[in-house]
Amino acid sequence: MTTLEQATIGDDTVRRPRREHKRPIWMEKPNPVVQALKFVVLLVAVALVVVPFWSIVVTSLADQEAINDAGGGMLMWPDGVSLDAYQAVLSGGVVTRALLISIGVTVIGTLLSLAASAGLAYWLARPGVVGGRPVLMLLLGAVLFSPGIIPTYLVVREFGLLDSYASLVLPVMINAFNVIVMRAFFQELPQELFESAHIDGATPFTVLTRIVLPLSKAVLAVVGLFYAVGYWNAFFNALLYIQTTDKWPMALVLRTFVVNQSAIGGDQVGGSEALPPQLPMQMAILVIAIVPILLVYPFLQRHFAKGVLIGAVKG
Amino acid sequence: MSTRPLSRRGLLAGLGLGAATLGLGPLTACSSGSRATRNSAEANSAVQLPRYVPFDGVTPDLPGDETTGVLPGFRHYPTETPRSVAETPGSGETVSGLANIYSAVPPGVDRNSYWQGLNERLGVTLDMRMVPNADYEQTFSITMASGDLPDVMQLWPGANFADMLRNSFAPLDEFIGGDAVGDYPNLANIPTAHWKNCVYNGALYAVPVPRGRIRHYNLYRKDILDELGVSGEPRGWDEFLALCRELTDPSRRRWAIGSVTQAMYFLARMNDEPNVWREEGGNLTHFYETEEYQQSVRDMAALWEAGVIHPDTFNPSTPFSQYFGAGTTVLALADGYGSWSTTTLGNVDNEGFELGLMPVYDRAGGELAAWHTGNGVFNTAGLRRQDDPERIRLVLRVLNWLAAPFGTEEHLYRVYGEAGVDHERNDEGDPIYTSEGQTNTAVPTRYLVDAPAVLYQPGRPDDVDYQHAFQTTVLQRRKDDPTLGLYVDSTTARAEAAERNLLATRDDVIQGRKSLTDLDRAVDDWRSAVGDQMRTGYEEQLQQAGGTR
Repeated sequence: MTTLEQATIGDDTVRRPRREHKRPIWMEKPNPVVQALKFVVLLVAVALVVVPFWSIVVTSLADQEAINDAGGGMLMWPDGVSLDAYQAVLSGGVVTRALLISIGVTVIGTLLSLAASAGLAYWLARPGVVGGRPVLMLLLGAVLFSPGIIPTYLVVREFGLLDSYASLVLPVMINAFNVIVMRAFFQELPQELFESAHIDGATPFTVLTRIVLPLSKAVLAVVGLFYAVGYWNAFFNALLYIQTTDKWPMALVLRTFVVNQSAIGGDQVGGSEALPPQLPMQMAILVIAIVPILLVYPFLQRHFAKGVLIGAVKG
Repeated sequence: MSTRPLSRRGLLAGLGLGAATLGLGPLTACSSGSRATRNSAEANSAVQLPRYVPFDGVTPDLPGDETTGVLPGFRHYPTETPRSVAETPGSGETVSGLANIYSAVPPGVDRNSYWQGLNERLGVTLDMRMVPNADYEQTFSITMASGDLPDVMQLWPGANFADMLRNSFAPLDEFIGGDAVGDYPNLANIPTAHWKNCVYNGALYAVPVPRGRIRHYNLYRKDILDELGVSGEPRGWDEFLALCRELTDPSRRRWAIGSVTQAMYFLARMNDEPNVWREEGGNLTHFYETEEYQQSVRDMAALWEAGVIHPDTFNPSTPFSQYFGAGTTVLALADGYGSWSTTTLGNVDNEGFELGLMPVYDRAGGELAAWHTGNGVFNTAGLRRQDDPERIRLVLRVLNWLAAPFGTEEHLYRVYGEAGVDHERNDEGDPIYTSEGQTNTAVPTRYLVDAPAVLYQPGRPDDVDYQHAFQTTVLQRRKDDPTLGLYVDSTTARAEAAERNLLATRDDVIQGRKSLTDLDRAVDDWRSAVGDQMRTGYEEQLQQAGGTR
């Protein structure tokens, strides 16, 4: 061994004269060309994300004249600042109300989803649990086969959930994929912990709340974010189940502002149609809809990265 | 909306309809035999359409013409607004409705003084459900499948439409057929031609949302044409092409034409294509099958080649109305005639913005081309089947109130809301929306029924004169669709695929990627998928009805 090691070291000094110190490659001084290249690639990647956002914000602050000067499309550079679009969007209270509803549904829905998914995943993660296998199969089946819109609608109706906020949460409360992710995570926790807790007299519920969940913050954050973004963006459930427009969440209100514009002006439009929202209004409501969920991201980002990493190195 | 227990039949019917809308056409094809007999022309032509009794309480400044389809014009909103409905339609019941909405949603009834006022005037609680228009088709099929129908809803013709109407909607003949409509004078004020769209299965199954027969306007930016010193009345193909070239200047980000799909209607008129179908001695030819259509496609290809069409035209999400407002495109050919209003309103802050209307001359430029008219409705609305005929009468009374003609007290409130809150009258008496009124009045009752269309532009009397003169000129020679008022179920997955393929091939030909031979092949496919079946259906119905209705 010693000779081999010496030989290797000797080889190293001969073959790689540029590496002055015997440091691992990631501790070497960076090559400026590679650095520059990385910078450009990352800059492009960031620009691809940031430029549309920028354009949306700038356009939302423009007046119709600025839009016309830009040829009728989106603006890239601000041409005066006008808050008219925001005033128009927020007047009447429809949007503010929808925003509150969305926040409520997202917060409550995410908490319920996390509780239900964590409970289910913990149950399924325990070895030899009664009925665990059929339920797991059922879950996997739910990943593969979707029940279809009309049967789901009929179920929601038969439970008397139409036009209630519960219809926005209950039908989508448990996402099979998320449960499977959590189950895999729980299975990787050291079983000895659970056993010692049992010996100390802990019930399965105590084990879940006092041991499993505190150890699973990373996966909870990731799955929670999945759920939260899902609830925030969902408009289709609301479209089907919520009949009173006053109970519409933000995503659906946003939709009436944004998608309708392209449809009007077709050949059947008659004399008395109401005016569709104009471009700055559409962009203003996009900004209003993006901001709250954007505010949540930084707080969860730390866990998000950790959660991904934990999954990656174990296994 | 009531929640009824789910019956086995209801579920099966629902699933069938759902399957059809989800593209599983063949599943439902087995019922087509029985439908053909029930929805026959013989039965349909026996229907007594509601007798037309025009409302004479308000006199337009410019008279309309029922035969040509020229709309009556009002320079200003009448200062005297007579009442057209003597009694409050309801006495505290709840009436539910479902319709699409194009604008942003209005505040709910609790926070919407306009909606509360509407309920008060109607004497009912109007439980109005609204859906973004892009999602209406889907919502409609799910609502039908669930069996949870509102009292009155905007209809969406799709697969098995006639069957669906028979199963779920109320035939209205005994209530409004013939002279019976006299009980609902505002519905009687809707001209007979509009009701043709409401006949299926040998009965009246819907109420129309009437619109002008003119259907399209060829809008152009008069301010830009004036600046360039060119005329907005090109006579014939050569002058039209020259005008488009004149208007196009890519260096200034300006093209003549925005939407190819709409511009095809312009060329259809210029090249004398049939208005959907051409009838000769009882035989029908679809416009796809004509030499004139091929000519239009060739012309469009020439326009594309000349570079006068906006390069984004084939992208369906291109914001054409924005482009038109900004002058990026100068012509909005064959736009819906209502877009005069929406375009004008959308450009009030646009300095110098001025609209013009372009008539269509025949290809040689000798005389005005025949004007293809529309079916005269925006949509129709159906009333749910009810056990109690009194309930139907109640809904019809509500619709009668909502259909109050232009210039009446009811119309002023329905469209413009409360004076001082939702609108202010300007010096000339025209109601101008307040910002509150703009959002409050968006409750989409106008898609359940509407007053007969008129020409009116608040605060812009000259616009009315101009449009009236244009309509009078172009509707001198009109060309109707001979199958108007007839119905053949043509909505199958295969039919839709063939139609899509045909249009995609057309767009490829226009862009020079495919040849006219490919288009012929696509037309053949379309013919075998749906065209021949429609032709046979319509020809039989035309024959039984003794010619064009």
